[in-house]
Amino acid sequence: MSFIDRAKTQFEGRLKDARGHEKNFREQAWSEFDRLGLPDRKNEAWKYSALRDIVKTEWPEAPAVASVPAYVVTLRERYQIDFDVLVLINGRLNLQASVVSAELKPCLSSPQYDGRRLFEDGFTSLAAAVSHGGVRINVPAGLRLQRPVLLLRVQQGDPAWAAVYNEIRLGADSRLDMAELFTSVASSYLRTEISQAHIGVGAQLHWLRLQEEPLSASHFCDVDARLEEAAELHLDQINAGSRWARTSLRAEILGREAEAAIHGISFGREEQHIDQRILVSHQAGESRSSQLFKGVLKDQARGVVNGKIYIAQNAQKVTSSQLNHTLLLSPGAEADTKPELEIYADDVKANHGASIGRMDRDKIFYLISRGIPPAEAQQMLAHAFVGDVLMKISSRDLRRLAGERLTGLLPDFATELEA
Amino acid sequence: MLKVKNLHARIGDKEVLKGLNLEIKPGEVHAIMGPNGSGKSTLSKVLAGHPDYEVTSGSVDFEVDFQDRDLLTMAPDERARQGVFLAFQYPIEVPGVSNITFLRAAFNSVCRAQGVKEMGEEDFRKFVEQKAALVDLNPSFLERAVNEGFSGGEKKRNEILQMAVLSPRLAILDETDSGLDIDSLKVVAQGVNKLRNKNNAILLITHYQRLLDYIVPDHVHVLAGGRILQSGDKTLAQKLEQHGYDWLVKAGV
Repeated sequence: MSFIDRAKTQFEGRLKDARGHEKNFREQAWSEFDRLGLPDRKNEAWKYSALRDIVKTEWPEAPAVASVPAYVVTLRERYQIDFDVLVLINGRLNLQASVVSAELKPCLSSPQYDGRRLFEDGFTSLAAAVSHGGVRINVPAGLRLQRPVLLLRVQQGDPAWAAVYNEIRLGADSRLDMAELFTSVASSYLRTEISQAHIGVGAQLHWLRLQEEPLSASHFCDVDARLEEAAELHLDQINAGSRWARTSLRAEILGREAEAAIHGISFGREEQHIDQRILVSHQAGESRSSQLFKGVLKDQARGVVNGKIYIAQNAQKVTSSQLNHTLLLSPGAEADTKPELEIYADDVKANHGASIGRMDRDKIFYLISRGIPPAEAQQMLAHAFVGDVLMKISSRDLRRLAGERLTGLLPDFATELEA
Repeated sequence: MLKVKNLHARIGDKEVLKGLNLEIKPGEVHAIMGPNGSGKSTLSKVLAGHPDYEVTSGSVDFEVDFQDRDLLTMAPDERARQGVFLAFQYPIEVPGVSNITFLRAAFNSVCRAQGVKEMGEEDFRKFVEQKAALVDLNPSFLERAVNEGFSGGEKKRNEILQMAVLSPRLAILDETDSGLDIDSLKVVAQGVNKLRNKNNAILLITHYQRLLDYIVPDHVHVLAGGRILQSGDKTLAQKLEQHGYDWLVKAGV
């Protein structure tokens, strides 16, 4: 059976049990896939992320798993003091294994499939059509959740495909601080996550994505957020794992004075390929957006940042910026950066910039001349390089978590320096 | 403690040191003076192990645990952990790394190498604040990124702070006096003098005699054309101040 035949069987199985919104959602997604097909390299958006390798495998659906692996329990115990922890194994929420406060509990349910059904491309449509599991977090108007939420997203069994669909809904003036930690002890798997977020008037969504999948995994995630008036989206990600990591982060600003801040740090090594796409679409005036992406790449790793700002004709007095800086640690590492501006309004501020550089030999020598071993010096400088992105994380709890995870990731970047 | 014998070194294709000899004993302060381009800074970089400089012949022995070790085969970080310290002529700015993080990483690296217990964050802060007072640096400098936005004088004092924290056995001060006003020079010199003891040695590299009024050397050497032309006591420095280098360089040729 081919990848697509297998997916079709999966889709038909899902459709049989689906009703109402869900049925419409799946049918629409599949027909979109039928229309568009799988993207190839000619598709600009997938130019750098060949799907060829991935569709060579026929991925069985990641099964429901009842037991909770020991490392997940360890992680939960480590963070449950400060966070409500949701354990999601193969995309399915395990409530028994989770730590959920009384405040969060009524906000949780399965996805309702009542949002918009607009998928970025054929692959995302396919992943939506066959999706299973997933979670819906619905924060009612006025509720500012006291405790931040950590979603432990783990995968069990391989090869397997966890095709996950999530919904985040924030009512007016509500607030949710949410971190997703993607990690696993399984080795060869495919994860697709499609998350739709709707942020109501004056609401704040602080969202941290920590991608620490094993280097043999494939991680394809798609975030689609819509912001109403004066809503705020603070979306930060650290991409450190996966053989293929592709994230598409889109924010559509529908209301005035809304703000989308999307920032990312990526660490690539070995044969890793980290592709980050960002689209901020300003449909309303006096709104703000910023994108700051920094990458540290070594070995043969490749990092792609394709950030786009779109400003509609009626969206006057928009302020937006887009920056991308990459540090290359090895001659074989490669960075591609592609900023795009598409602006139809005439009274806006939009700036962008990009740089690619190597580690400063003078700084390295200065540090090692004080007795600091070269690998540690390199870690310090890599940490310093991405430090300002870390400082931009607006939620204190999420910033602390990101800092801690980052420190844990850095030793993988310690290499002996080339002369 | 340090024995440099017939040292030849080059940067790129240019030979800068052409048979330099120097011996430094514990407790001594040596000054190396010389005109621009004579090889003073090259000597300091070679001793610290800067990768841009290549030693083509000669030897450098450094005493570690009462035994001579070949300094040239030791990695630069290893040299530092064994007690060699270079105060940079142009200290490097390291944005994003706080001074205290840097100092503590360096200090603990040395502790680990010498089998001494590392210091925790709080203890280290107290320790380093005392050392900062030695060079009249406000503790707020500890939170700032290493040398970033520091004035010339603050950068030099920060070098001496690092020296105070690491307490090296051999400190090489490369033109530490350059770009300093007289007040900063006094502060830096006082700091260095407080760190002098019978077990450590200091090598001052300077263009001017002025610094030697404040840090009084036991030996003065004149370096020109990659070799030491003349050695003497502190009066040699005064003679150079009056007559310049020309008479010696000519005599040397």
